[in-house]
Formats: sequence, structure tokens, C-alpha cells
Amino acid sequence: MTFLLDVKGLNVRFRTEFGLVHAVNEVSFSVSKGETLAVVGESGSGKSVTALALMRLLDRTALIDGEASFEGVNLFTMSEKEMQKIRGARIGMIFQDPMTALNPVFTVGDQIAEVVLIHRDCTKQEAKTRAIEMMDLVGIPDSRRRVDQYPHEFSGGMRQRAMIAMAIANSPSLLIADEPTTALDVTVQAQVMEVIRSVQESIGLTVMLITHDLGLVAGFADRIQVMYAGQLVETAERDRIFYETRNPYTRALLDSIPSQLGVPGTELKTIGGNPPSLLSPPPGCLFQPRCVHATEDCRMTRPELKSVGQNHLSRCLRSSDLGVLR
Amino acid sequence: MTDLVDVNSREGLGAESLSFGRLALRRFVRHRPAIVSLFLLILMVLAFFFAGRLSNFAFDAVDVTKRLENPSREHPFGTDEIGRDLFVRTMLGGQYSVRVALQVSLLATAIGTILGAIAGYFGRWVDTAISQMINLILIVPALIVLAVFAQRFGGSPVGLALVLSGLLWTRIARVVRGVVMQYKEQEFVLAAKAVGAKPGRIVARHILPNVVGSVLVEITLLLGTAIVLESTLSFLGLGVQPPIPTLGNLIQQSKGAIDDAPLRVLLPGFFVVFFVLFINFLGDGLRDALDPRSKRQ
Repeated sequence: MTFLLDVKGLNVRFRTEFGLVHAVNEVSFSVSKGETLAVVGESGSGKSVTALALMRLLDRTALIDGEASFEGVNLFTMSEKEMQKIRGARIGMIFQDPMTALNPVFTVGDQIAEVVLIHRDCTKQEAKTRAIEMMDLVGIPDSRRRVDQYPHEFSGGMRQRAMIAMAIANSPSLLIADEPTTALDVTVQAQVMEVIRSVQESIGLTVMLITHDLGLVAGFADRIQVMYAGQLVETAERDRIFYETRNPYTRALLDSIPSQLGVPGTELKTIGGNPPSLLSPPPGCLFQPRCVHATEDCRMTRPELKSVGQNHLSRCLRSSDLGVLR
Repeated sequence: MTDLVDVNSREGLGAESLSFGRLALRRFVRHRPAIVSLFLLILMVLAFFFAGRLSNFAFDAVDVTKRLENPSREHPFGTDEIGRDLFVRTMLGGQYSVRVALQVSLLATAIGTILGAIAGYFGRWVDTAISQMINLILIVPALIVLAVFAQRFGGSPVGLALVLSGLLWTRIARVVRGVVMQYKEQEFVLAAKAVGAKPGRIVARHILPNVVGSVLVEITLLLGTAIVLESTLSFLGLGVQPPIPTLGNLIQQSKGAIDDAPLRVLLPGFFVVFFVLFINFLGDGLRDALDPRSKRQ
């Protein structure tokens, strides 16, 4: 199987006035053509930074090293000019908050057409036609009229559809969706995910979905990758993550999903404590202070990512003696 | 079969969609002082440019038999000490003053917008360099610099406009820099980068349109400042040189008559004051109209 995107040893550090913050630490992963990879983790786990690093959209305080080969080229070594030709053409990206990701002074149609005009040699009229087609594809009703409307005339879900239309207007091969539904209503979330799925099927898109919501990826992802404190802690096929969990952090995350069958009045399960400071990470396992299975050894030794099954990696010193976590 | 609700009417799409520009225009038209001021300003400028032609006298026609006359049917504003018609001279003076002010605001806005946008968008050393240049221009006493440069280059209206622009662009630049810095952190700018837009396109298409409102307001203030500065310099004899009249040097030439014929001094001054007043009302109206949070209907 060929990989569309193959990331090796990605490190992202930010220069701050307090020192270097190691936001992403030795992350390696790959995405196959047509697959949906979900990157899951809590705030500050480095999932968004990973996505922005791949797009080279981090500011100058970020130091990136590692290798990211995408369609046979290394994203990290190409010039900014070449990178501009990749963004929006080969890799599309959608952002968390559709309320602010559209420019309020232009019509939605203008903004979708602009993406086409940047990368293709075509007339404004052709670009607008393409914009209408894209709006139809993402299920924006009455696209002919909607194309001339301004973002403030769109609801949140419709704006996120417009963002998707922008991201896929040039038929990219990879779509990076950075928390695409976080800012939306629960009922609209499902609709937007359905749009992404149908677009994925109709144009053969590979999707990298970044989210903190395991419930959301349950019905959507082929493979799940869990991040904690800038490190990859577990990665496997979706079902293995849900039913054969090997990492205590993943288990804790799964246990934090509010049950729909919950008894009213019972307390929501949470993970106690806070993620470690990335400025001066403690020795040993980064999750150890919050881990219910932690031992003395966990405080001293930093675990490596180890194979625990078929295409299943977990970062835990005790993965062999703990077995499958329930 | 249940009735299908029309999606459009449900989302309130029945009404015609209004762009921000049209909403702003609507708010502006309803701002009474601004509309009255705009009307009076247009009237004043039209008078400056065309009223002189109604008179039978040229601006520099000397008639020593009719020196220092009081206003009459023939000479509505009277005559000066060598018998030139003051109505024609005041109108032409207003014309030169307005021209200088327009040239200044055009040039200063262009320089200020470009440099302010570059400083705000690129930040780092570019910003430091441009900001320090602005500070340098702002800390040196303006009147002295103007006096020196105006004496050298300011004799003609265009020369004076250049000198004033060289000083006044800093205000626009500061405003633009601030707004650009605020907008470049917006997510839609990141989204524009994510679709492969180049920096030039991002600034021109995604950031500057958001700056237009603040710049328009600033231009009105600039017009007022330019008129006042031009009059000041010309009054001090450092601006536009006679025989070309401007509002400033007209006051200067008649200043001795303040006791005998106060109108001769006050009339050009009256035009300066009201021009600036109307401009400020206009700016006020624009500010209210262009503020997206404005609740005024």
C-alpha cells in the first residue's frame, strides 16, 4: 500500500520568553490514500500544531524538524513558493470556527471562487460556476442565490459547509480538518461530518480529522491516533482503539465520553490533574501523574512506542502486564 | 405527505441581502449633521471652483482708484489695498486651499496606507524600521520642520502639498498599522494562507478592505488638518506665495484691517473654520456609519 502522507520524526518546538516549548515530540505516522485518520487528544496535546506544521502555517517562533513526504515531495524542505502551490490545491484545510474563518467583507461565492482563481488559469465566470458546483456538492441549498450572499447571512453549519467547499474546490488529495465541528451545535455536527464523508466518497479524498471528540470519530475514522503532551501514545484501527484499548490514557479518554444511557445525577467522569508543562517535562512517563496504573518505574523511565498487536502501537511501560484495558 | 417548509423562508432569506457597504450607506444617510455638512461642503467647494467666474474681475486685476472699498453690489467682499476684487480672490484662495488639502490627503493616504500595511503585516524589523521613522517624524517640532521645508519648496501649491504630505502620512500609517495587526491574527487570514494565497493578495484582498472604514474617517480629519496647516503656513508667509491667493495668505494680507474693516479678515477665516467644522461632522457620520457594531438605524 502506498502512503499519501508519510511523516517521520516530526518535532515542533516554540521559542518563548521562558524557553523552548516542545509541542510535538518525535511524531511519526502515515496516511494511506482514501483512508480517514483521526488524531485525538485533549487541548495542548499537539494535534493542531501537527496539522499546522504540515501546512507550514506556524509562525516564525516555531522550529520544525523531521520529514513529511506528501505525493513524493518533502513538505518541510520545499520553498515557500512551492508550498503555496500545495496549499489549497493538493492539501485543503478546514478550521475550527467557521464564524471567523470567512472574511466578512466578501461574498461566500467570491471566497470560494478565489481559491479556484489562485490555482487555476480560468476566468472569473468559470471560477464562479465552479463555486456554485462546490456549494451544491456540500449541500448548500439554493446555491445560485447563496453564492452572492455574505458570511453573516449564513448559519454556522452553512458556513462550515462553505469552508469545506473552499477546501475542496481544487480537488485536493488530502483534507486536513482541524476540529471541524467543535464550534457547532451537536445536531449540526452530524450533518457536517456527513458532508465530509459524502465529499470524500465522491472525489476520493483522504481525510486527516483532528478532534478531541472520540464519539465523533467512532462512526467516521478508519484509524485513530491518540496524542498526549506532544507525543503519540496509541495508534490502531478504529475498533482496536475502542475495544482493545492498550494505553491507560486512551482508556481514560474513552471513559470520559458521557454516556447517553447515563443515570441523571451521576457525575461526569474526568481525568484528574492537568497535562504536564511542555516547557520542562518531567522524567518518566508524561501521563504517569494522572495515571491510575502508575508504578514507581513509570516515574523514572520514559516509555517508548511499542507494537502491541497488528498495526497497533502503544506507549506504556506496563502494556504487556496490563493487557487489554476495560 | 406533510408540508415541506421552504428552507429559504425559514432561514430569513426572503429579504434582499444587504452588503456591509449598503448598510453603512443607509446609516450614513440617516446621520443628519453629516448629510447637512456634506451638502454644505459640496456647495462650498463648488463656489470655490466656479463662483469666481461669475464676477467681471480677474483675481489679479489691479484698480488703484477703488482701493479698500467696502462690500458692494459690484464687489461683494470689497477690495484690497491695491483695488483687487476680494470675492474673486477669496473664492480662488479657497480653491487653492482645497486643492492643497486634497492633494495632501491623497498622497498622505497612499504613503500611509502602504507603509502602515507593510509594517503591520510583516512585523519584526520591518515594523521597527517604519515605526521608528514615524516616531522620528512625530517628535521633531512640526512647525519648525514645515517652516524650513516650506521656505525651500513651499512657494507653489504643489510644493506645499508635498511638504505637508511628508509630515501627515504618519497618522494614516499608525491607524492602518494598528488595524492590519488586528486583522492579520484573524482566522480568515490563516484560512487564506491555507488555500495558498500569497502575502500580497492576503494584504490587498483580505486585510485592506477591512481597513477602509478607519482610513476614510482618518482622511476627513486629515483634510481638516491640511487646510488649517496650509492656512497657518501661508499666514506666516511660509506657504503659498502671492500673487497666488490662499485662505491663509488672504488673512495675512488683510490683518492690519481688523479694526477698520473686520469683514476683510474674517471672511477668509470664516471659510477655513466652516470647512473644518463640516469636515469633522462628516467624519463623525462616517465613523458611526462604518462601525459594524453601530446600532443606529
